[in-house]
Amino acid sequence: MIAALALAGFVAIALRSPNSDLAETSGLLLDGFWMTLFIWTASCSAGALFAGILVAGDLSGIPALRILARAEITFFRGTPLIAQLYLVYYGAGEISRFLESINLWWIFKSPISCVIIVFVLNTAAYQAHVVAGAIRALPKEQNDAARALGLSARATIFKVLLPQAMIIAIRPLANEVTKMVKASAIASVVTVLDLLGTARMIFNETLDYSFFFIAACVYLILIGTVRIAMEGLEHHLLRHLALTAPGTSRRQAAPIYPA
Amino acid sequence: MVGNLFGQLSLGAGGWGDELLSGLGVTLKLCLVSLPCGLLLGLALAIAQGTHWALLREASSLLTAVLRGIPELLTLLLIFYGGQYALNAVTTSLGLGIVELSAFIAGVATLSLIFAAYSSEVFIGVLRAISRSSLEAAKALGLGRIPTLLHVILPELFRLSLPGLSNLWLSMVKQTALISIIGYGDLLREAYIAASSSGNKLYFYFFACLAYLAITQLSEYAAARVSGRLSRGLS
Repeated sequence: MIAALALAGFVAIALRSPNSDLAETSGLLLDGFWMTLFIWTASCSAGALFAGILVAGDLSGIPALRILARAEITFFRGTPLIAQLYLVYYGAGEISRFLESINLWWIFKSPISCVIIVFVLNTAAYQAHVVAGAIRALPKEQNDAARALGLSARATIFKVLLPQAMIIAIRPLANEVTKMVKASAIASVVTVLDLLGTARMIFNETLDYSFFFIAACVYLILIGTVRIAMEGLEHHLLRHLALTAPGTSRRQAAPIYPA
Repeated sequence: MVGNLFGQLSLGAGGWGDELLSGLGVTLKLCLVSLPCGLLLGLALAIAQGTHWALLREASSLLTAVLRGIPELLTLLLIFYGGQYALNAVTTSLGLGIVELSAFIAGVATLSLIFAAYSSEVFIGVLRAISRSSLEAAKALGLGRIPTLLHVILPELFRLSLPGLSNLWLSMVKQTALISIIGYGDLLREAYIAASSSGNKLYFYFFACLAYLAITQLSEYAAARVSGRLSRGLS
């Protein structure tokens, strides 16, 4: 399938109209590709860190922290990413005077950093929702047993709850990481030159439609690769569950908790 | 300017309320038109995955892979510009001149196709999960193929696929915002115009976000209620 897509990509390149310069545009597209990769990896990793903070807030005993965390998660999961981006990008421009006075304008001035901020907040909300849901799905006995053993809160979370919650959470998290690759294309609406942004810019100048096809092929190959990598990671991390050992059918492995 | 906050939202000539309301209507119209199209197409794709014809199987899996593998914005641009090019090619060869492709149609096509690609996955899983015993019981009762479909398969299908489909519905509501990129007057586009003209950018974009939030929260609540109702009596 990937071979078919790569072939389609070469066909698209071959079919492009003669008034576009291949050397120049392929250089631009390559830069766009690196930009997409950067946006994706930066926002996913920083988002994972911020999601950890959100989960801690969501599960904490302090109502104020819980409300703040839940508000962030609900807001950023319930509104479109592009609306969030407009809100921060154009909104920060409106209050630039105020931001200058507290010395924060430099973050919001550049489109790329605005994009990263919004994407981090967005993916952190989704990731935190998944992880918090997974922790809440664990049987209460786990927490009680850890208490009975005298484990500290930190040990309970990191040695008992989180490893088990990650088993549930890893598939949705992998899906979220894959989704972020596609979401990175939205950066193009605020003049960030990622892969889609470059393709649109070239299209606007040359009206050569094949650049969209080329971008599509690159995204397909990228997402296909990411998906295969995520499946491999999942297979590797869940290898102790013997999900594909002979005699067990998929997802009907030995129970995680002794029944 | 701050004192005029509510005035900005007023309906009629002075405020932006009526434009924003029409944008909200457009967004809802997009979703409600794309939903049945996407559902039918998704069901068709799911059934195509189970047929004997390899060509149909491969074609549907290729279509699903492509639609799930490229950014939604790119899909929209491909359909909008590509559709216009294709339409131009067809109409000029027929001597009809240039017919404009409506952005609404491009938007509905994009949203339906993306919804169909993801919902076919949901349906494939659900169709597998519908218990064999239900089907055997229907056969034992002498139900023909159509009554089995109507009274046994479809209710079960609806109940089991609701969680997955409600997630897809929420995604679709958020994807409608992308259509503002091609200039169509949905909620975000109207908010963009209002924000740019009036300069109250934070205010209008925040309002738009709250409107989307209202739609998604209501949808989640409704889906939870329906799901609870459908699972009545089941353990």
